[in-house]
Amino acid sequence: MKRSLPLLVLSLSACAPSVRDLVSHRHYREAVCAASEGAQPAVVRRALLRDLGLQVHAQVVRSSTFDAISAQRAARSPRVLRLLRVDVLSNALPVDEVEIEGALSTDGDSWSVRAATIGNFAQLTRERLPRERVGSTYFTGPNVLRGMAALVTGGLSLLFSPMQRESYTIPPRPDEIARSAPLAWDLALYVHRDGCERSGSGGARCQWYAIVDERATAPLELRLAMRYRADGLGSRRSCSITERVTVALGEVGTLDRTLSARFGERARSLEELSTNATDVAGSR
Amino acid sequence: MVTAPLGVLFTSVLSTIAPLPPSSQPSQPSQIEPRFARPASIVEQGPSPEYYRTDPNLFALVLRTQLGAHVRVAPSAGVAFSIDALAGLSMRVGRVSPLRALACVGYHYVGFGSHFFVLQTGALLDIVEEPQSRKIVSVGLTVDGLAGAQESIGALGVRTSLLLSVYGLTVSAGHQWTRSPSGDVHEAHFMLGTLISLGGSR
Repeated sequence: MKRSLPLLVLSLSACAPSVRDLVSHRHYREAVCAASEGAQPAVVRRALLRDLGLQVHAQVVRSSTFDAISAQRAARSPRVLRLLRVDVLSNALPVDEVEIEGALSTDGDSWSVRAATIGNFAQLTRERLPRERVGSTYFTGPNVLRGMAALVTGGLSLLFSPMQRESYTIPPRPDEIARSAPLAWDLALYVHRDGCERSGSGGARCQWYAIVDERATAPLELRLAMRYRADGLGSRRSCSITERVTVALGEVGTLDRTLSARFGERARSLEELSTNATDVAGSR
Repeated sequence: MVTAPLGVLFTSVLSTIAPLPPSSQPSQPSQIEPRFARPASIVEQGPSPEYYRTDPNLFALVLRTQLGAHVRVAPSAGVAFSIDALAGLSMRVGRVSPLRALACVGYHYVGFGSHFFVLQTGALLDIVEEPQSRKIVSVGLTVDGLAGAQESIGALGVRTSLLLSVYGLTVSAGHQWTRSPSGDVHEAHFMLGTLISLGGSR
């Protein structure tokens, strides 16, 4: 950036800009770095959350396969399991990254809420996932260096640092999983969009699935963590602040009815939902 | 209370989805595609200030070397090779101020047989900055206190220099006055060198 000399001279005693001005003009990169240094983090947090404009939708997913497995399992142990889907959409903010993480929680035992992973589905269907295989190789970075040292020293270095085999794991191939755990694979196919991606507007589009046990007594909550990152200038790296918001989704026992009545087909903004901003943390 | 971390194993396994065997076609679950209001793209109003995104550390380690010529103008005339090696600190006057104060110590040799310990103070003004690359063009003024020997006789002196630094390469020119029992000596100097800043803001 080029500056003229008079401007430079005038700015010799440059002072910090007001955080409220930064926020009102949406200079959120500066505001994030200010908040990470402890300059009015609550003001920055409120403004970021307001402009992030989160929209949330939750629903119980109807799957004949899942319901059959759930009923079969319920016959053995008194559980009623539901497959839940949560969608979140955000506005695009003038920061370098917004990272959104979501988690569902309630009370109860370990089956109260579980991520809809193929491992958890396989546990439900009592199918066995194929094991990871272990391979080994001599072609590693350290061995390349050892080889170069051997060339330079005429092989003498290998007396002190011989080539070593390193092992690595090979995950099972999808067709192996489908063969050995067909029901779990069946369920998992429809929840593979788990996570966040950039939407057309530049904001985040997130989708999460979870398995919920309807016997849990505490209300189900969606816990969202938003990490805002701004890149530094010059020798400064990046700075970030994290905020956590809890959205109450309703009683677990009546989730189906509650979510249908509350959301229907339309996503709701955070203002329409009962939320609780719980935490903000900064890092430089 | 149990929290479910979402989509770790799952994403990794299914990221490499291959066609299913023909025997296992899954049944489609029933789920709503929710309707969202059109998301907005929030934009900054005007150019952003550059303050909090800069490094709050005001100090930087400075290393300076110089090679050049000293031209003796009084009491006699002559030209001699000169070399400097200095290390010290620079301090930015404010977090985004283009003005830096400089303090260095080091050694200064002139081919007329002069060896001096140098205490250098000065000011640097950045006139072109590229914050992302840290490339800076600066001008400066330095004043050095000298103490040492001139032609094997104890001497004290003052050297003043104007400095131009372009991407760490420097050109400096100025005047050196030294006083010893054998009399006052005035020399002009013209030096090329380096000014390396390590750490600190920008």
